[in-house]
Amino acid sequence: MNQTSDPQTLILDAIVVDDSVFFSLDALCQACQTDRMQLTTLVQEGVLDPAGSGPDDWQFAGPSLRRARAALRLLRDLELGVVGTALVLDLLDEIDALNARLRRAGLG
Amino acid sequence: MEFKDYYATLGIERAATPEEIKRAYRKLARKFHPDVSKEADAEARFKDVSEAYEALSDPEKRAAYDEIGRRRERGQAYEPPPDGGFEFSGRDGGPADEAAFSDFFESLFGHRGRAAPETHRSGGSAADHHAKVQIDLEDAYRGARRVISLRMPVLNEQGQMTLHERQLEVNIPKGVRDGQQLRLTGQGGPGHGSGPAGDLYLEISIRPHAHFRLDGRDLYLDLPITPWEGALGARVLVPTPDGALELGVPAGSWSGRKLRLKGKGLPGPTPGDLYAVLQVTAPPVQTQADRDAYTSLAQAHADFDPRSGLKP
Repeated sequence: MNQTSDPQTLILDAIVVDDSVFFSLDALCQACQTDRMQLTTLVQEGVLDPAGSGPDDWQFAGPSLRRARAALRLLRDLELGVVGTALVLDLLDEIDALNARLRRAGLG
Repeated sequence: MEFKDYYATLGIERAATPEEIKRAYRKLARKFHPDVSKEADAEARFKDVSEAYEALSDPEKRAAYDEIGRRRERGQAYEPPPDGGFEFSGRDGGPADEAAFSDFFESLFGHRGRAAPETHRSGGSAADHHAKVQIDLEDAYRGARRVISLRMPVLNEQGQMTLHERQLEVNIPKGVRDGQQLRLTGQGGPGHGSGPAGDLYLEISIRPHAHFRLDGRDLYLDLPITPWEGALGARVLVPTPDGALELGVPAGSWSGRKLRLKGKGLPGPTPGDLYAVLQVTAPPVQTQADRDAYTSLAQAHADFDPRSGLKP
């Protein structure tokens, strides 16, 4: 495969996608390269927890991006199904919390 | 080009049935999936396993791969087929920032032979891209500027897929936490027609530090003190990622006591704290004077029994 490259380098400011950043359903679909149905299923299963009353005014807080992407990877790579994925993510959260306790105690 | 033994990667025989291939893949995928695995080289191993499964789970690709393998057994060195590989009716490849397969795979099946990393696309919108960046704790503390190289597949005027490399210099804001995403607006895939370009997301991972442990925005540091500093109290110098600070150790402090330096953790709207976890460290006995010092300590505390709580 041929390679090309730009001679000049751009300097850019990055925005931290934290709790002050929100995604609409369509914006989160674009960021995760998935469709509304997949993300709606993740909301119904409690993997994602947007503010708002329905899909058209859902607001997903910034950290949802990481969680949604992890869920989609697990769904795709391990063929887990949505319920299994939700369970795996909950257990991973618990492992993270336990690891944080170990780190605080100097054992991590 | 290095020949890849996909059967060995999955730990199966050449005669393996499709069910055996699937079973082997699932087992290894669970073991090495980067989201769940604690193995050190999980990401690389998972990539190898996925690539092997991608090649062997599709009958067309498996047949082509087996043919290459038979030629190799007859002593012919592997030569990439001309014209970018076999023709396959694969789905379109996604962004090359992540999950790119090996040159061997691409030479055999072409870029289009790879399944899209994410199978469903929202119709008509530009693609957002993702990449990972590793920074040091000090960078997260002070902010940093990083040069990031991205390789992206682009169709050229002749309709061929080429890899376009571009460099971005990114100001990483101070206070960014491990696992957080940064957004670079408009730096993802090109938009369709006159539509806006997609965004680029960078996932931050902070390298483990030799002295500091990170928990969200809080930092933990094991701080060795002498028995007399702990017993009598002292002012000691504590390193922080931003330079040393003086800390008052109150009299009567022993191992495990946590002293908080408020606001000296990672910066942010609510800055984290730095916790110094005290560790009393006694000097070794090397000379007669050392021996005398411990002996007089023992005589001064003849009634002290640290094991009184263990008595039946």
